[in-house]
Amino acid sequence: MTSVTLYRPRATFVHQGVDPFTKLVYLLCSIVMAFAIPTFWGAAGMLVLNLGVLAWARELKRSLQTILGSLLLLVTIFVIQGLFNPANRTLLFTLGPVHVYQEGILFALTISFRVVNIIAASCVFVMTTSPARVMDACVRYGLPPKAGYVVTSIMQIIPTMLTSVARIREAQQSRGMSMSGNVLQRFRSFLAVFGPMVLSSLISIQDRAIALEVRGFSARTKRTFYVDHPVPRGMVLLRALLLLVTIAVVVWRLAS
Amino acid sequence: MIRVRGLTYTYPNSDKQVLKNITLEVERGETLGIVGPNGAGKSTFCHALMGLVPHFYHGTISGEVIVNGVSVVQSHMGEMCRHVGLVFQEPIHQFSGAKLTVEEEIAFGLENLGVDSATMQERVDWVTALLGLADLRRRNPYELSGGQMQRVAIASVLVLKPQVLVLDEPTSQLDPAGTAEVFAAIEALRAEGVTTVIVEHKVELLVEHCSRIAVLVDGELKALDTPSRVFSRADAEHWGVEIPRYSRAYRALDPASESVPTTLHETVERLRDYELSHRG
Repeated sequence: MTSVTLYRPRATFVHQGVDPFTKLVYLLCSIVMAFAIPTFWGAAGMLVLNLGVLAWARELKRSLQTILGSLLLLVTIFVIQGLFNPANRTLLFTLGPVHVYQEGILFALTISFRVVNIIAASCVFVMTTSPARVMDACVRYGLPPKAGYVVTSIMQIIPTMLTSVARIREAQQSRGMSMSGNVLQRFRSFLAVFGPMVLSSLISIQDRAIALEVRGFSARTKRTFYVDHPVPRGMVLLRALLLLVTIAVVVWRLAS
Repeated sequence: MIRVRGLTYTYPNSDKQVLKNITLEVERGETLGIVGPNGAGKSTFCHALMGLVPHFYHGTISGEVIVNGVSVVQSHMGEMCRHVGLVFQEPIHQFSGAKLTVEEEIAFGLENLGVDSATMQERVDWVTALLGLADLRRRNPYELSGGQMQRVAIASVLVLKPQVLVLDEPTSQLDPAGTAEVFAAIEALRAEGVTTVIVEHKVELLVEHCSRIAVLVDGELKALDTPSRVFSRADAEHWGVEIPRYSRAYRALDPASESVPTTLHETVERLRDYELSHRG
């Protein structure tokens, strides 16, 4: 059994040279900027930056796979906006009885850039940062341990659920449940996996909560640290730069 | 060390009393085994010793639970872990999920309690040596075998130096090798004088390591005595608890006997006596 995380240790600057708290600041700034950046070119530039960082971290392939996972969502956005956006005026093209409009497609592009940028920035954080280091980093910078633990748990939730789903699916198949067939059969098999997954997740959460309690997680004392992880030089500057750029973009957006 | 008086508990949104007027005492350094069928209230009793009942689960509680002179009901959960350590069934669920190595995982509780760095190092050194984990200190805790994981789980609560260690079915998920590892660790704790309470279905292993056995059935304390006296009782077969095979075999040989042996060693001795007395 291995730890459930998307993080893979690699000897790159993004993995080793940037501390977890700075990467968390990068993620939060990226999310704010994804909504604040007003132009396509700005959003495209941000995407290039995110993909560049992922390439630098040698995580481009895995993150593109993750981004492709959102393809259905993106296609849905384009179809709905292209056809039904209330601002639709300029006909872009016609496909039989279907009319697709320029305003809707441009709006869909804006939303898609936001989605892809947020996923890419999340990949930078999740794939290059050990969840084990995140909590310590957050607590060192004054966040309550519970808040730090929430961030760590969020980083582990998807792989944990995928592991759980795989185990439940095997168990259901071993008892004769078919996982293929028509839509109705697939829906039935989905329910057979979904119910136990929710139940086992709730039990795991309770077990984990007890495990933390019995080890003094809610003790009213100032935490200490077993291992000292020195923060690499230049991180304060990098964080300040990220925050400044984000604030500048937000102010620019509000003023324009 | 542990004093329980009239402990009665009901979970929230339930009318059923899970623990019914339990009264018992455990001496300092004693190892008490708890047996009982599923749903007897064994785990709830363990949680009551730690304060999870009622602080975590809430519900209705009456009676008193005093551990190391501290009233569990009136104390904060975060403080109780200084007095009581709780280890439960699934070793993997006991890990914090926030540490990369075995030694960091073991030190997690010390960090929460604000223990200084030098003391942390000293305690981790002590507990890893005691439980045979010294070679595994740099390993990822999630990559260990079941027995090793459970030893890490025990170490991670023992490092807090609690006066009482409560183990709730610590070997239920383990193979025989893992089970042997855990019981070797329990034996090491006994040698250290740690007061230990163990809930376990593997009765034959339990009687080897415990000075007394408590039998819980449907929330009631049916028996509390030495293993031999407990399993010699006429009503023992009606509790839904496995009776050691040595006891059953001896009972079959000598149905009139007032007491039965529970371990291999005791059985060999008793069989020698039996043979001698029947030769004469």
